Amino acid sequence: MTFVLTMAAAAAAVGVEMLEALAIVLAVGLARGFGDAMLGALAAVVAVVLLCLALGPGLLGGADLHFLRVIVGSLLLLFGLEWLRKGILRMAGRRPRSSSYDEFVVEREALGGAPGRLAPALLGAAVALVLVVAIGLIAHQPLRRLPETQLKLGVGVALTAFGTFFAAEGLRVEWPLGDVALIYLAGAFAITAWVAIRLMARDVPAAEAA
Amino acid sequence: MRSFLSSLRRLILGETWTIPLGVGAALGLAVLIRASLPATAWHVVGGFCLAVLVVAALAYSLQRAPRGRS
Repeated sequence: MTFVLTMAAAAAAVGVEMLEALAIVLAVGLARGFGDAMLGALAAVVAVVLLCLALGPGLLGGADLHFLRVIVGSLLLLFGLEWLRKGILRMAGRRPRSSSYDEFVVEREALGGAPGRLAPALLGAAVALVLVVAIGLIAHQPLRRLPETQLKLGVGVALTAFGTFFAAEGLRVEWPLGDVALIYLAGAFAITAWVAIRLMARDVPAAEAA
Repeated sequence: MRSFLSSLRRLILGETWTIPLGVGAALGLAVLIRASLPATAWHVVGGFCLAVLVVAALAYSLQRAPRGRS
């Protein structure tokens, strides 16, 4: 079950970022030609692979299991809470909806950094890669129309749940129902985000929220 | 170089210090709670303590967010 959940979270997190990357590549391709865009995309893929090869073994080799879980959990919490914060502010109308492209590598590293989770995280990333490339080949409409803010909010919920789960395991917590804790943690964080959006949206003047 | 370090800091720590501060405080408090509870009690309630602290960190970062669109 953990394998599937880790793979799903990795696929979701990587997929959202890769959709953004695909949109950027398409935009650059239309503006400057697809040769330059493909060359840049290829260079980025090589850089990502080299970064994974450089950081992965160091993260997984020889470290204390509990300590590593706390580190991985902390990283996931940093990314997850950042996405949650941005998503809540955007959904509440406190911040313009926009996009960014930078967290992909470290998120993948963090999700795969927990012992035993590297394979599902890599598999999830591969699934996301295939899906995004397929979408890019099939879809001719601008990818900016995707509900990016909602997707990022959902990924933020998932990453925060994983971060809490791993960090607590590193502190020798035994979760009730085992891996199912990931699901009820995600539910709790989703409800928290929903309440926060409702509360913060009330403070936004109607003219700004429109 | 300064631009690279700035980008790296933003990549890892995000665009605000409230999140890393909140995560650090949450984990630090969790360690303190763990030290003050019997091991069996921590095994059962420790995860929920951490989850509540994470929610508090999120609430703190949202409360510190600028009002209105920026």
